[in-house]
Amino acid sequence: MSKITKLFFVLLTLNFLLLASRFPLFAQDTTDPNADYLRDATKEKVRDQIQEDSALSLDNPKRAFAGEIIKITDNQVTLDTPRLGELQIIIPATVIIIGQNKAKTTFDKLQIGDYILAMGLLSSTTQLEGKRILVIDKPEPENRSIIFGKISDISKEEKVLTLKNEKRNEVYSLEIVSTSKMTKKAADKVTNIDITGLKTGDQVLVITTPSVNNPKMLSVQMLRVISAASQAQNDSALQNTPTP
Amino acid sequence: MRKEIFIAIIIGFGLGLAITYGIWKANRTLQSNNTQTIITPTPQVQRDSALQNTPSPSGVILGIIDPVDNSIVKTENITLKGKTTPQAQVGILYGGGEKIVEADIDGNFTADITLSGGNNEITVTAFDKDGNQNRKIINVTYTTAEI
Repeated sequence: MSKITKLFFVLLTLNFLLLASRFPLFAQDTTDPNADYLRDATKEKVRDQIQEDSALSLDNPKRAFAGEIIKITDNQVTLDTPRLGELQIIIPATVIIIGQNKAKTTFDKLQIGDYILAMGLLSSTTQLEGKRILVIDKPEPENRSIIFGKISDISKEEKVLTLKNEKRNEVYSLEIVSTSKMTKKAADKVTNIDITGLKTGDQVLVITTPSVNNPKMLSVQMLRVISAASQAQNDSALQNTPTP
Repeated sequence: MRKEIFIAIIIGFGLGLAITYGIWKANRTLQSNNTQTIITPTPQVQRDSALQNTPSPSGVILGIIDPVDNSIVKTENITLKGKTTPQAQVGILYGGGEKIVEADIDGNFTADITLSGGNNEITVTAFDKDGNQNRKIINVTYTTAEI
């Protein structure tokens, strides 16, 4: 190949690279609503994670952790916390320890199996410098539950509702008791209602406790009609409308 | 010899320009198509439908902004602030009671809560209108003692 031909190809390549790089390829389309939604969801997820991480952030180190003592050494105890796992609590000489009888006690009185609330300064993500320690009763598990569904049946005489959660394919029997607080939101205003204000097809959110009288039933503590029967049907119809 | 080199440079430059013009034209056409997407108004129902059909990676979004998990507060009454799916229904369980609130169109929600002395477990559950749910639990300690 002659020198001229080589030179020609070199110049051609240089021209191509220099001038073509002036116009970058068009970026991804960011106007797609699905892409927007996924981006927002990702942002929220990240924010959520940051919030979770901030539970162990050292920016504001004053923290309190409840848990069961599983190990005791010379100057520290290991707590088994319900949601964060094991946590070391350093016990300095200045720590204040309050026993279950609300009286001050000493470190040597703490025992494995004691349930404590340790307040202090977080010195690392798994270590707390104890300032005040309370020996407390182990908390009872939460017996209330929050359920969501559509009213499929109402017995106004027995004051019993049947609620169906189609998503989970679950059916609940709910009794309305004298302490049940029921509300409905309409036109941005929340109003109190009684059983006569409920209709089959209403979409509701209910906070319940196990029934004292019937183990198969739940007692309504609080009920909110989210979407009235006709509106719920409209929403459902709207969802089923095929997108053009 | 010099004349041939000069001709080669001119031809190379010309070809480079021609190719560059082709790329520029193609990019411009693509840009024009995307601009059209921006201008075209999307009907609200269609947009809502698109959002509903988009599979969310983890269902309903839920984050508790304040108070921070395992924090210590000195006041009995606090305002719980969080973020969830727009207009989701949020049920809150805490030692002193329970609340149901609705998130605004941006997904923000708040609830005034009265704490008991000591450790308080707060359970927050958000539901979207299809019944999808997400739950978060935080612990907040109320004490007047200096830590």
